[in-house]
Amino acid sequence: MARFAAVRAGSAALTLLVMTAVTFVVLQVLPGNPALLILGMGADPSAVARVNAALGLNQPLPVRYGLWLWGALHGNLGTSLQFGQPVTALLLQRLPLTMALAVLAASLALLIALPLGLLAAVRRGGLIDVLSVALAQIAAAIPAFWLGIIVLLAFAVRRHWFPAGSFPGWSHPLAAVAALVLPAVALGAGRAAVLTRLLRQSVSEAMRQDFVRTARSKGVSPRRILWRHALRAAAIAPLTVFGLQVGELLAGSIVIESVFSLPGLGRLVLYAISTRDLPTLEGCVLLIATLVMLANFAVDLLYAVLDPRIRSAG
Amino acid sequence: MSRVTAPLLIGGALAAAVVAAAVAGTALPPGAALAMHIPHRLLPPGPGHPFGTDQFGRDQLTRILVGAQASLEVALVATAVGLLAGVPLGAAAAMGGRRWDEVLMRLTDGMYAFPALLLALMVVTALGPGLAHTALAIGIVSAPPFARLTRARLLELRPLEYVEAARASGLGPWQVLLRHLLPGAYGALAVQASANMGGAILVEAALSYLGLGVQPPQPSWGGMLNDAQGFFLTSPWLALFPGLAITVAVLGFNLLGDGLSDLLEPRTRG
Amino acid sequence: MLAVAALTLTACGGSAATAPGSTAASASASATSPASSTAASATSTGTAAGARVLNVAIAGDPIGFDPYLTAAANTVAITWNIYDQLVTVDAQGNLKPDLATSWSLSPDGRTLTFHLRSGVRFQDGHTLTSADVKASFQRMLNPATKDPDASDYKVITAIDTPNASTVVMHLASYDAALLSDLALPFAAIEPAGVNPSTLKSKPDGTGPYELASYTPGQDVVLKANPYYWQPGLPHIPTVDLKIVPDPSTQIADLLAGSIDLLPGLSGEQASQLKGQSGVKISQAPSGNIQIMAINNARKPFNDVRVRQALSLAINRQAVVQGAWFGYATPVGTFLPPNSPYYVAQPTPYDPAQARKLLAEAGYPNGFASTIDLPSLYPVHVQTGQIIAAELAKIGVQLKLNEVEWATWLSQDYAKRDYNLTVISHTGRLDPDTLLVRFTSTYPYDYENYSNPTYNRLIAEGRATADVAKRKQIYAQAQKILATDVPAVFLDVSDNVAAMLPSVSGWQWLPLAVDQLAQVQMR
Repeated sequence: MARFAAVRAGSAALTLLVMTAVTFVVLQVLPGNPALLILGMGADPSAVARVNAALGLNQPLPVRYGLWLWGALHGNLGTSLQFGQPVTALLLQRLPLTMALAVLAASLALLIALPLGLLAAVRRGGLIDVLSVALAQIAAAIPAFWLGIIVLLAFAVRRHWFPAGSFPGWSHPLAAVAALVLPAVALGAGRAAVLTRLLRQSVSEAMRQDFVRTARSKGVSPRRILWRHALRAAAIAPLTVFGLQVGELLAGSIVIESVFSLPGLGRLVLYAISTRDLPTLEGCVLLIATLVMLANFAVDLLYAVLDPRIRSAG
Repeated sequence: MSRVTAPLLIGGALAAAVVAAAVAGTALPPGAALAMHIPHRLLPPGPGHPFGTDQFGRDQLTRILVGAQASLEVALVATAVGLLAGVPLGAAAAMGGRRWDEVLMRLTDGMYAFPALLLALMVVTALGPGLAHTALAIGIVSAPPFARLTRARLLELRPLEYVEAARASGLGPWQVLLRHLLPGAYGALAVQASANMGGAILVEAALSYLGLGVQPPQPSWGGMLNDAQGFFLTSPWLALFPGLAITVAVLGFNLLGDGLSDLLEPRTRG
Repeated sequence: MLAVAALTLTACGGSAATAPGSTAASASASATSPASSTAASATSTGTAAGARVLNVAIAGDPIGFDPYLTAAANTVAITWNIYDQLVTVDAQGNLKPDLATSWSLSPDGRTLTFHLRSGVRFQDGHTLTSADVKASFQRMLNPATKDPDASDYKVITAIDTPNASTVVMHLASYDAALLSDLALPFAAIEPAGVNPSTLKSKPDGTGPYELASYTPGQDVVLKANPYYWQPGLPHIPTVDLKIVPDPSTQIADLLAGSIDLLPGLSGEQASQLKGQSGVKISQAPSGNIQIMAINNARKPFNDVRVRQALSLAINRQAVVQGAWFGYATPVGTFLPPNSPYYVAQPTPYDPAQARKLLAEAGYPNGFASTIDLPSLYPVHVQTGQIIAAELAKIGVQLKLNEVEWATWLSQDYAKRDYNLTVISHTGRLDPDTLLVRFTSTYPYDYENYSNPTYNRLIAEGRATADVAKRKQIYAQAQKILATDVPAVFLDVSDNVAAMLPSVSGWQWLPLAVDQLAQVQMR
């Protein structure tokens, strides 16, 4: 177990290193002059040159990456070129919104997927099964940003049930959550579809397994079998997928935050790309990659904990 | 038990419809999708323009048909790139011994764990926007699943009797791989390829919506949705049809993948 | 149009302002009826109970709050309300007193004396003196500050402060543009004795509003400056400038009532809001000139006949309707019609003549080229698409390259690596600020246009005090631009603002700033 965790952690660290290095290089090959972007079109060329020098853009690439890495290891991600604020502060400001959006979307997905997936598995071939399978297929095919536009049109523009965007800030918790409902629906629908399919499959597989059959032959009621055995068995597969979904949710937030003008991590990524704000983009990539790795890592550990019991039972 | 199922039929039909739309698009006079007619801008769906017109008075139906080409081209190229990069990687991992396997699989695991859209976004940012670059970017992020799949199938097949027999008969490792092992993975790869087409269309739409994918004036469904958002008050239908087109195309390839899986890989299905 | 456009609108033209002496009367079509009640304000979020908050949508984050550190429009549109200058402008572009109550120019044109208003206090509480003014210009002109606009003020060689209320500027030479440059937001008067490095995040001015908070990506909150020197202003105690990059979200927010005021609408947005009940529109001509820039150094564009052909083949009305939805006026020169120095130049649409000129230049069948379109500005992308369709009719096939703003700035603008591109330039108050862009000595003469006569005229114009004489000079310069076609001048767009009926007092200034002090709410 310890060795497993160590190997996993090592490979996660390696991946982070590769990703941040790639990001660094990517922004180098991009044409773009951050100083001109900061100063504006009329800027005196001498001021542009001086700002570029002040930003440290005149040092060679490996030196700058080394310096950045050294800082990152000490919790210093540098200063945003555009905002002039520490990148860590920016990230901490943006993270709660994106996390809240992801959690809301994931909860929504679970709320839909749990009953649908279970019912479909229990009554395989029944009406609910056919309907939920069809629905899941369609929901998985709908682009999240399009769903976002549609719900925005329907529930924010036609009916003023929810705000159309522009986050009110966490000092207004109710308004803040209200602003996240439509984005969460857009982001969660596709996740719900994937989860439904997976639950349906893993529960029906579990119900065919020996220990469930044994229980049934002992006269345990089908309902209890479902709750006690099948569900526990079924928890594992969605759990692994949920680990992967963290990445999908974070990536999805890039587009969804754009549709709804939400100041989260996703929009910060796009902003940093378009303004060539390398420190900010590096910070975002590092944070998103770390979150995904942590989620996968946690799922791996949970899986390793849960797995032996089930394997021995099956 | 392999069988032809409803997903195969429905998916096949939908995918065929998308291909037909793209072909119909090529049959239109060149420039039909670009022809501006500003006095006829933002017309609602009606006679002459079944899907209405956009802000330049361009016919939406024409643009959706021509847009199918962009989606299909990107998806096909991306899937081909994914196959060409992923299959050799997976084969190398499976055949190259433990050390190679560790390194390659950790690498693909790492990429796999990283959100595909973000990775594609970075690649497109580096290469610059446009159809070819979008296809390449999506192809790169498509490679890890193909690599994983190839490796898993090869490891499954290697201990099988017929492979052992081939090896015993004196065939070299390359010949065994190409003649006996890889053909055993074709079915699974076909299934993954079809699913990947659907996924690629989704990512392309998202990139084009963000303005980083297919560039104007070439019509793309994601780009059309981007344009449509500016006119949601007066012309909401502009946002309807491109989104439906994406959904139909993705649904088609996803179902086709499921159907192919039923047909070619029945034992992997529940 | 989309969220990548969430970028700082680092103004085309590098800066704010508009036309020289522009007559930006707030020609509000429907801003008249003060009767109807405010239905929407109840739904507005972020309003503390009882407090009056004006919610305004802005498109992007400011790049700090120090007007000496950036020319970004997103910054100066806000700092205009935090800082004052020595002089300011009215809606017609006339200079009027601000922190200086009066000023005088010596007969030789090389000494400018200002008398300061008494009793003015900074937001930190200290009283304005001539020392603050001197320190401001010293900091601005110090190369270490890296002020992008410092070169506009470089004729100031020294500043004397004979007493606390008098400022004497010594000038290297007479500069016709200086006084109006002193009315720009870049000439804000900052406090002396404050560590200037704090001003980027904690501005301290004498203006009607002070910065209460800034949450990047979310909002900028301004509150009324208790020490403000103009009695009765500002009207509204708190202004919440919400950062809403997506144009369609801006509109939806306005209609839902969570935004009261939406300055800076595109023609596309304005066309959507036109006719919506419960929304007032205020429009005035801007000083924003959209051009198709031409790389004059490259073949075939080094041939004046080719450039003339391009100008003849573009139907400006198609651009005005197609890209601006009618919220623009065609022009044929590089000054806006509301400038007193504007001389109308003909803009005939004549594809036949264009073909003839191309044939004479050796391109009877046209040619192929590329046009770069900055994707940050949807209107330029749309204009580019219309231009491509227009030029295809005379055989000029353009490939459209959408480029990111950062790329455009470095590649097209700084390195001059392009064939054709579409962009807007915004004039400041003086005509020189626009016309100087086509002199070959201008650092960003990215059109690579070089005409010694034109250079000489512009230099003369800047040194000429007599307005009538200056007008003659600039008339000649505009004639040269119209015949040489260093760029195809397309149109001047309108400034458009939309607001709820409860909002009144909005007025467009001939500068790209949001003047909030006079705005009122019922």
